[in-house]
Amino acid sequence: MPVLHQRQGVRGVSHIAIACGLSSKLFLNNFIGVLKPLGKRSASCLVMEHTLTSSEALDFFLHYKIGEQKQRTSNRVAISRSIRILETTSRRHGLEPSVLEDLLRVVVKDTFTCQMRHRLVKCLIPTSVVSRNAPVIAVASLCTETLPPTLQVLLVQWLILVFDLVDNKSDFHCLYEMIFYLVQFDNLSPYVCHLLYLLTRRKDVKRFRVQKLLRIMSAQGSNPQLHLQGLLSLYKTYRPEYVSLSVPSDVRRYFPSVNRAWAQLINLIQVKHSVKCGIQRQVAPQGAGVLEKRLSRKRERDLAPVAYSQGLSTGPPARESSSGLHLDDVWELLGSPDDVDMTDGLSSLFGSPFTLCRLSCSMDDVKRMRIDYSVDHVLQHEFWNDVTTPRTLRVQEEFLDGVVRAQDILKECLPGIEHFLSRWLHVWDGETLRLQTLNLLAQVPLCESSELKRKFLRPLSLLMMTSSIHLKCAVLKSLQQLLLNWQTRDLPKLQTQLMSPDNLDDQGGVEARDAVVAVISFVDEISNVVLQQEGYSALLIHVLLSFYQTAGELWPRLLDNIMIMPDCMIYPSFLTYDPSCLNRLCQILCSYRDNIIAAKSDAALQSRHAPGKLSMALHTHNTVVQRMMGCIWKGLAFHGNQGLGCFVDSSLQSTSSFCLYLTCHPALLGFAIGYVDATFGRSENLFKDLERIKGPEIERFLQYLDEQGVASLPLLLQKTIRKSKSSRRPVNPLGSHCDSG
Amino acid sequence: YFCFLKAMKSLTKKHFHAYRVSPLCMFSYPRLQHYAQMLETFLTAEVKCAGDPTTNSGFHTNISVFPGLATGQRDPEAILIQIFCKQEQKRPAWEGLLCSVEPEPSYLTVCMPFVLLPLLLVHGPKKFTTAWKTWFERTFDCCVSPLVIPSYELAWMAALWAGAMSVPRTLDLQWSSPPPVSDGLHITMSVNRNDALRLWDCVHTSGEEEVGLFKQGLEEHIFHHFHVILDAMILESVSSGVASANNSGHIKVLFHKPLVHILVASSYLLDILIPTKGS
Repeated sequence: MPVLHQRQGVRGVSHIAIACGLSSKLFLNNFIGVLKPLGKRSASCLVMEHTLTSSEALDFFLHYKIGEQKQRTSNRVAISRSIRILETTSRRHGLEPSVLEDLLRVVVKDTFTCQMRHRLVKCLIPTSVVSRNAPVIAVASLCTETLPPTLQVLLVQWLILVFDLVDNKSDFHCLYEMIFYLVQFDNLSPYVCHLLYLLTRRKDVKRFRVQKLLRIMSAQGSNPQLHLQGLLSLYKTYRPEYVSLSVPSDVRRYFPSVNRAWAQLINLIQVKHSVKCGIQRQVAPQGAGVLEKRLSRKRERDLAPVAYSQGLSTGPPARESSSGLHLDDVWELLGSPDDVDMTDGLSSLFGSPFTLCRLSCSMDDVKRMRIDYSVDHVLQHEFWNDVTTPRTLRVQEEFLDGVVRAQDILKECLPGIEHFLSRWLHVWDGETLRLQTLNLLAQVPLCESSELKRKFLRPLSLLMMTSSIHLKCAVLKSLQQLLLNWQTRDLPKLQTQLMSPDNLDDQGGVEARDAVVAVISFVDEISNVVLQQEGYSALLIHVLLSFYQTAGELWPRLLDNIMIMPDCMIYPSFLTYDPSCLNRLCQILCSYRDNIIAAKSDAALQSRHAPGKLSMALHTHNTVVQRMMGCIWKGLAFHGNQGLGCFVDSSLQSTSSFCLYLTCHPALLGFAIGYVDATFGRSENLFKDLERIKGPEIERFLQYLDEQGVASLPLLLQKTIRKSKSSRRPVNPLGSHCDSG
Repeated sequence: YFCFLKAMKSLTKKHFHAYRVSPLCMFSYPRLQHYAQMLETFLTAEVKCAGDPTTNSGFHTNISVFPGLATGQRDPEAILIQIFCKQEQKRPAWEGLLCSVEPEPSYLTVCMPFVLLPLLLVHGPKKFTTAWKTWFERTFDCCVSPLVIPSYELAWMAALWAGAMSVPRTLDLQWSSPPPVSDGLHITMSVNRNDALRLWDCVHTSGEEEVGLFKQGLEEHIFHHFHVILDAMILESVSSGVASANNSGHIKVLFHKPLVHILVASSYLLDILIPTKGS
């Protein structure tokens, strides 16, 4: 009774003190004098109670050292006060992750008595999440056997209770083997089994673990070990082939219950916390705790099937979704190529490039069909039923990106994709899923030309007529990629077929080549229209030139089809202001020339060619080069049959023939002036200066062009102009014109 | 024959939810019993793994061949899956019927290790459907997705059922507003059985498409009386004395006789596309 009186008395006094604005310490010092008759001990505890805040109580535990405090009695009192305050605080608000971790470190050290450490463990109530280190500390201490047995049990119980709140369980999961080691201890076994039950993923189920559990079970004798059975039943679910034991299914509860009041307390703090920052969490759920899991469960379904299930009951499952299917890096793949599980949904592997790699090595018809069917199912049905919202669009984008990546790795086009694309292109607006559509287009197999035209090229031509220059360029780029893909993916297969003499007339090979020709002729046809539509934009010319460059590289491999760029493509890129266009044109013409020469000299190739086709290609090439040389070298741009004379009216033919001469060509004029500046310096009359580039200066000017990056034009000149004395010194038409004028 | 009739009757007067299923990999008929055990184990494990060991998790499953539905030449036999709870042994808690009733040939051929049972009818609580779907998709590497019946096909069903109605019950149709427009606008129409029959007989006379004319007739009637044009509305559900169907794949058949025809009609829906995007 007297104690009660004292307390009430002092409380009342402290209220007064605060009310009066006095320093409470000073006040109490005076007050202790009043209370002296009650004994020193009581007085000091009163002081403690009033000066300690929760953070001070915490500091007390964190920085406590044995022997620091001299008086044992006051020491004990301080501890008991601090723990009381800590208990109240943690029960009211919980502890922050970092604080929790620090306090756990205190618990596992043997600074305090066992009873005190018990109370401290009970204080470990997390406000939000438990840091990833905390379970590591706890498990590490469990393995050292320095903890008293009861405390060990309590710590495991705590781990079970806060399991869902652990932030990032990867570290925790690494300790699986260490926790499993604890199963053999009788007092810990039930709780450790429960913890393992929560922690187990499929890859943890190993034969030796099952054996060990069975051994422990048989050692225990006849009394039923429900917790071991519980863990085994989970193992059996994951790997039925490892556990032949029949597990009773009518068991209501496998594991002993953990202190209910404690569990409720932890839940209560969580609920409070989630109410407090619920909205904040939903915006940025970085703290990967239970909340995030719940949110992610509500996520809209993915189009690609999920590899593992999420449980039948509505309550949130405690385990992380186990995914033995997905490899994180290439080392994991190289380390265990046979461990990659491919029994379940194959198309769920689209997200994992390494697993796809593994799949591509062991592809067979059944696997291919499994992927085909499921991709087809998604594309044909689910894809079209959805009304387009930004969200579904994003899901669709992700799915198609996955398909593009998978096709890239598997090096083949899935039939479902081909079918989908042929339908999709007919209704495509050129905007929705543009990147994905074009990527898919680049992976279409080139098999039959008529099919190709009907399914893909016709809708594309309609689209290109009515779209912006950017879409035109993008479509041309993806057609170029299509040829490249064909070259790297299908051509090697085809060539091995063709090289063996039995398969010379292989239908597939002929069809594929026809399809390539169909693509190139499609671009031939469309280029005229789109160039006119876009006013011969340099961008479009460049994109088209890239396409023809790729097409030109296919030449020697296509064997009996040599296709020269159409006129509508050659002349615009010749009559351009852009030196790089001219340069690339010359480059392509050079490669044409090399290829024709190679084809003519190689008897085997020549015999394969239809004779008319090669000579026709040669004729076309020669005409083009002749006309270009007429303009650039002879300076007879519109003169009779020379140069481009055949394209213009006869009344205009004699005028300005020199305008496309080497030094006056709109694309090269800038270089000529630069050359003049660099060599002789510019005078007042620019014409006279340009006139000076003749004779040996021409060679030097060509060299100058070469240095300036226009390398292919000198190369073409070198290859086509015969090196006789007469042609080495051409008449400088500019000079003659100036002279006559 | 009685067996067959009984089996057919067991499918009537139940609300079914229709799904489409992609070809099943490595499905074999002699192993049905084994599959039933696997499903049972799976369901039990699912309940356990869900972190609640206290739930009473007693399930009994039955997978068997359902006779009489493989009417086409190449159709595999239909499969009936039943899940019973331990507490109530007599009535199945969940039923699923996998069948293939003269499906349209697809461009993807289905050959040996695969079995094509594209139509799934499900009757029972959603949680079982989810669990079963997970197990099924995992075991046979296939996809199961809900079947959506578009407006036009519903109208087509309405027209067919109007002609076949033998029970004095009205033909009910319900339209709703399309998604961009705010929800809540529904138009319901009940047509007397005799009137529906008369309209059906009328549309037969001309050589044009009967279903289109039937639908047009109904819409014109509404326009005549209420000045509402139904063209842009979505036909959501149709119910008649024979059967009822819903936009989101609910099907209920009242008599066993037209059952096969309705399943054929549903199978037809599996292969059509409803492009809602693009131009």
